[in-house]
Amino acid sequence: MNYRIKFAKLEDLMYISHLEVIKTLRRIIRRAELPAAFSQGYNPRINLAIGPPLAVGLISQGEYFDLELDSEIDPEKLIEDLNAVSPADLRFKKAVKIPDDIRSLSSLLDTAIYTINFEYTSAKSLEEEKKMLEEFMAQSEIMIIRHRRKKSDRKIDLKKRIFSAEIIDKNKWKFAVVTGSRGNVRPEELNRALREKFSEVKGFSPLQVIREGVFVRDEADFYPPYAEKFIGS
Amino acid sequence: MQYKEKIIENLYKISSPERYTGNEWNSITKDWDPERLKVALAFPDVYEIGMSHLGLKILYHLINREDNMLAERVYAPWQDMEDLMKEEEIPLYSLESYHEIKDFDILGFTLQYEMSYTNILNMLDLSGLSIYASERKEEDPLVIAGGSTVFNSEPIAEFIDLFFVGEAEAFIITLLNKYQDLKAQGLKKAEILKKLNKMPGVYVPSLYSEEYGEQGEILALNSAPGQKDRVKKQVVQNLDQAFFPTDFIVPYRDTVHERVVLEISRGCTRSCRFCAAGIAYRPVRERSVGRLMELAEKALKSTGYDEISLTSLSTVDYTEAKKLVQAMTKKFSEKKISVSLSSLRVDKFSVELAEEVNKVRKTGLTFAPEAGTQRLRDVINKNISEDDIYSAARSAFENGWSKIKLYFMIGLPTETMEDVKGIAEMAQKIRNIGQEVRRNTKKRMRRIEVSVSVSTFVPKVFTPFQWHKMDDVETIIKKHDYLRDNIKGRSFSFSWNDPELSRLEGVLARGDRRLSQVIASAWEKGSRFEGWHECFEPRIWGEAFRENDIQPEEYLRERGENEIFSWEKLDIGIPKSFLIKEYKNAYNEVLIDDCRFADCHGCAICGNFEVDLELVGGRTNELQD
Repeated sequence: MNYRIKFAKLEDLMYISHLEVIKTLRRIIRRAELPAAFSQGYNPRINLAIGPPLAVGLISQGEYFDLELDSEIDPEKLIEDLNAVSPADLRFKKAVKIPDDIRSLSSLLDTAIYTINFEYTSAKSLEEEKKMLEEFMAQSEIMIIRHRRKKSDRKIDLKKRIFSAEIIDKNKWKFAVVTGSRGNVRPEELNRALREKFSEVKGFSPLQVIREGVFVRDEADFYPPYAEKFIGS
Repeated sequence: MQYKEKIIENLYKISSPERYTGNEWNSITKDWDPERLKVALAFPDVYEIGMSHLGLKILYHLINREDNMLAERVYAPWQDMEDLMKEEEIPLYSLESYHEIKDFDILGFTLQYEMSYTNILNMLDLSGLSIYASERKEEDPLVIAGGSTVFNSEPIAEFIDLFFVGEAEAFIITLLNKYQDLKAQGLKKAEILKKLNKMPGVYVPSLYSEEYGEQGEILALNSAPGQKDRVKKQVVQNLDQAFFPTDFIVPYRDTVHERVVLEISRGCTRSCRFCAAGIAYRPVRERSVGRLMELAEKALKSTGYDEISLTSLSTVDYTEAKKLVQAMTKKFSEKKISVSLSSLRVDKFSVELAEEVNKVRKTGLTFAPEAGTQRLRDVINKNISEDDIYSAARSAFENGWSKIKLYFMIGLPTETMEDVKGIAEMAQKIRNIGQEVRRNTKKRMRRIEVSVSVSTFVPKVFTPFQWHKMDDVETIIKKHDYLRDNIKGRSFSFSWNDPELSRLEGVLARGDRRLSQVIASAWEKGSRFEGWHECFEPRIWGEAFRENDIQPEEYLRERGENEIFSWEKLDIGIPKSFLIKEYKNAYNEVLIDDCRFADCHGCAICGNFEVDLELVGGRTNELQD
């Protein structure tokens, strides 16, 4: 029995890395005493597959993992059991039973949506912000230098990696960007690129960012990975 | 003050930010009720090292169980975090409530190894406290310390207000309550300390002093009027019933021991003459199989770990080792929970036991022959023969292990180059046995690997070798060179300790109060984390010794039988005469056996402390058939 489970990683856990999240999930599943299925081999582990990594320092409202159980359990009960033994800022939100042959999370999920709270050295009206965004997105390319750990810096074009951008409220910008195996965009890079164009944009702080979640892009819409069209029989 | 937002906002700039955020499962955040005594439990090394320390886990849960107290944790920040804290003006804070350390009533340090002393000073300083106890203010937290190097805490005596000597779990709550009472009465810190020093196990260093002669020798140890002459260490009686936590904090970050740790027994009476723990934690006390099973089950449920580690100074000496291990594997293997053992002895029984727990995963197996020749093993009273070692190795290889790690020491009393040669020969012989087994087996077996780890012997206080002269750096290097040249080839790896670092450890391990200044100088010059090879700078320490006019060699020399030692302000319950007798036995290569299974040798601990050996399997075990 396979379940696709949505969870949020919030402020108190924002500095926990992707691998640490996986380790933590396994321990939560053990604490919840769920009938988890184990991998074969010398070093049996709980069978669990997680979506694309969430960078250290980011908060997310919608991450996913697939879990295999040996027996069936009501999805709502599953969520309740997990939350009962989980740190306050790691919250399980929804579980959906999925068929065996469903596409994996890593092959489905290709989009991350961020809302970023930009601050400026002098106050801006909503209209001014909308103009900034228009100007920002009207560029033919948005080149930025990506600093990579233990590797050389690389130049990349953010323009190709941003699917959509809008201003949803004063100071609140929403970006849908590529994530997963086809590349990714870091919120810090969006801040930097914007700052290069408009010097009045203030520097980056991880507390300004919320990852609304990861999604599957289909035409101009974004779907959760357990949407009907993926589960369908 | 709490600094949570400022901290969270800045942590993305440094490496491993999850060291500094807390919020782990099972961590305890109590309300800061004004009535509560607030204790910050500090470990003077980084998070992942400190989080693995069992003693702190016990104290954390023990204190938090009390309604009128709370305990929170703090670890040493790594250099990048220290820089960030200074730049952003963030003081050292606790991981639970993010309160700065100054807000606490008590700051308690765990002393685990000498190489963490500068970190203690750094943590005091980052808290905004003076490093010297005498300069701290009335409203500053009381700085206390305890743990395994408390038995010679003199080098840090100037920095600490109060030491607790011995096993704290039976006594810490009484001590904290007493402190709270005295404080509520409005007494000044100096008065409070005088009163606390009258309690068992409490050592207030400012109430004691050392008198030096012209040559720098210690003439006398003095105590303040009305205070006890010597401080008796405290021992837990009936370990089986003693408090032991099961709701361990579960870290996110990889730490040294990410598993349920069960202390199956405390103390060891094997009487290895170099071993500090073997003297300091006497007598042997064991927990019962029933109690351990109950603790294991609770802890697994509470933490979600998939491994149990059975720890003690010598796990196979636990009198019901086989029964315990079988019961554990039977009960937990279905849930895919593995059991691991620490501190195996070099014998066939250990291999059998390891085989029992390690039915699937064959990783490495570690043996500690300690010395390369039988003569030297007799000097240190290791009580294992050449035969034991080779048959243990053979049986390990035959059971499918292909990697064996061997621990040795150089610089033991009476050692000659013959003994050093013996280390290389033993390593080669074990490799040969492994290769022979591999050639003749039908099973698939990985390539044989023997790794040899050699540390430099550091004489420790309250051991029969506390009089011994430590090797000088040239001698250590000569021995290392010999071993490097003779333990070569694809199947070997050889590792050793930095000789300069071992020497510094040697100085601090048998040091006195005069070293406080040296440690302070080294810290001021930027020395931190000496235990981390890459952080240790001998140059800084050289300068620190010179500036304070201290000759490190003075602390490493052979000591005279009638010398007064700085650490003799403490009474660990074993008379000096026993240690001297054992030192002489070493030179005469006289063996003594384990008093658990044979005659009493008169170390006097049981009589002095009115304690008994607590052996759950009676005075025999599977070893004695």
